Amino acid sequence: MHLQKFMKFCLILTLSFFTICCKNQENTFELEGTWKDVSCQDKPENCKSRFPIIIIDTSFQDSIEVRTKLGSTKKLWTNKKYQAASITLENNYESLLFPIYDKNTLAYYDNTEDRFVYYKKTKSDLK
Amino acid sequence: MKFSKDLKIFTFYTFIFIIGCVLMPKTYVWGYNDRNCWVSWCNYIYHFGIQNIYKLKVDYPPLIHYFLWLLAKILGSSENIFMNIYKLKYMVLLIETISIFFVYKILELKKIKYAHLLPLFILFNIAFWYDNALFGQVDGVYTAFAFISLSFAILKKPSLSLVFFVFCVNFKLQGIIFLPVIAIVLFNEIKRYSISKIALTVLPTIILQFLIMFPFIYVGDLKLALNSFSESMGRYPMVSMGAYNIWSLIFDSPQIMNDNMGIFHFSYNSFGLIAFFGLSGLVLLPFAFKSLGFFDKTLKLEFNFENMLLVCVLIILFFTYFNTQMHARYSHPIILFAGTLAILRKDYMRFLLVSLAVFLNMEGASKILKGNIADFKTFWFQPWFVSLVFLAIIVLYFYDFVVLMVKSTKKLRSLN
Repeated sequence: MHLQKFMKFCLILTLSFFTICCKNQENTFELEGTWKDVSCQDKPENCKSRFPIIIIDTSFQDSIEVRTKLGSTKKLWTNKKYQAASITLENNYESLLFPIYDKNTLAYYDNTEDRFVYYKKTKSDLK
Repeated sequence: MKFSKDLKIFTFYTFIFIIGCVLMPKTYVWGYNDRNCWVSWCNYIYHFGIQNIYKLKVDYPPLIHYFLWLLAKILGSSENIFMNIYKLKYMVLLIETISIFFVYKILELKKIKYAHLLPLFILFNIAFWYDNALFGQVDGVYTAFAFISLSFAILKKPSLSLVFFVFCVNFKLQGIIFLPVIAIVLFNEIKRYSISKIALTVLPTIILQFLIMFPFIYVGDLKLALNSFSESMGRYPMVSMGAYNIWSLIFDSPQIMNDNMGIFHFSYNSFGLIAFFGLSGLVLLPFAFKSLGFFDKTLKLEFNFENMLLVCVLIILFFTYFNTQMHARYSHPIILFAGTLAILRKDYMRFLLVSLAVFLNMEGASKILKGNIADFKTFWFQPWFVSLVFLAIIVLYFYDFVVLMVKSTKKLRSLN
């Protein structure tokens, strides 16, 4: 009797768990590509962030390319893992470029301005 | 009356837990690799559900992902996950506080004075909270589950013991080092059971294991989930990954040496494993004989907390001191086991040495309190010094084990 009750309890628990936690969505996100700061709105003078463009090539595990406001390009050290890339800001703050999957956006937290910077893939990079 | 006392002490520990959360620093080990992993995994679970996490090629067993799933549900957005990932530390602290509450219950059972206060020797010990609060790691969780599992085994509650052991191994594979000792204690109890009673005892464990794995079976990722148990082994084949153990006495820079190298046709990895299994076998053998009913008349060993905690302490020490690929934090479980043993035996000297060695190794390897990654100049944090302290600890606890063995056979000799 107790066993039956226990089994019933487990079954209800399992079903409730899966209705709460299991949602299936396909992951189509790709980290590789050219990412543009959304605040720029195609005009470099509008850009609020330090890197208007970030270029991620996943064949290089330990670097990303960034374009600064002045138009110069430089390589930054990174650690790419699990569809994210570490990024160290000038003040040595260790931030993370992470995906917001449902918006197909990349973001990192800028602690000097206490805000998130969002990137979208450039049109040429969208499949 | 009893309930009211327990409730008071429960409230007391809850209060300490809340204070711990308030004071919890947001620090992580240099490089923020661990934090980045937690953020990435939590963020992925938030968007695609726990069942798909192994598609991200993560290499941690399933239970940690349930913690991250809960955190993702509470935080509710990718941005919040990044900003508040340190709150995972609250969950770890909660489990650690529960393990400390268990220490209190053991002491109360043994009718030890100030049972509610003495466990604070462990909880307020920097060597105990360094791993979670400063380093940002989660070893306290599997340690707590292993400790609770062992406690239930000693208290002759095999079902609960097995359930917590399943939690332990599903959280981190390192927990497997406790399997032989827990199995020996459990066998001593269940050998009297009938087949049907054994089946009923094991049933909740099987159901629990199935429930933990079900999300991954559901999406066809069971193989990936199972691989996570073994994938992290050998990923960094270095003689040391930061643990100040025997290899720090033998080599100048074991952290840059591949453990597949060796001498006499044996790799350093093999030497480590032989030493670990050999010495663990040595301390487990008398208890295994006792459990199996061999030499019943010559061995007067008891499966009590003092003896089993001593065995666990030695196994943890052998594991971290002799094996290659060991991280500094792998010695973390010893604090809870050695701390409880110290309180039970009212002998704090060894525990002080253990705490000192674990703290020196953790800080020496991670340098979080120091504030920069330049090497320490002072001898306290030198690998050879910390390794010698660990060696002294092993000698002391092994001496205790020898004394226990002599006593357990002397009883019989005096009877004869």
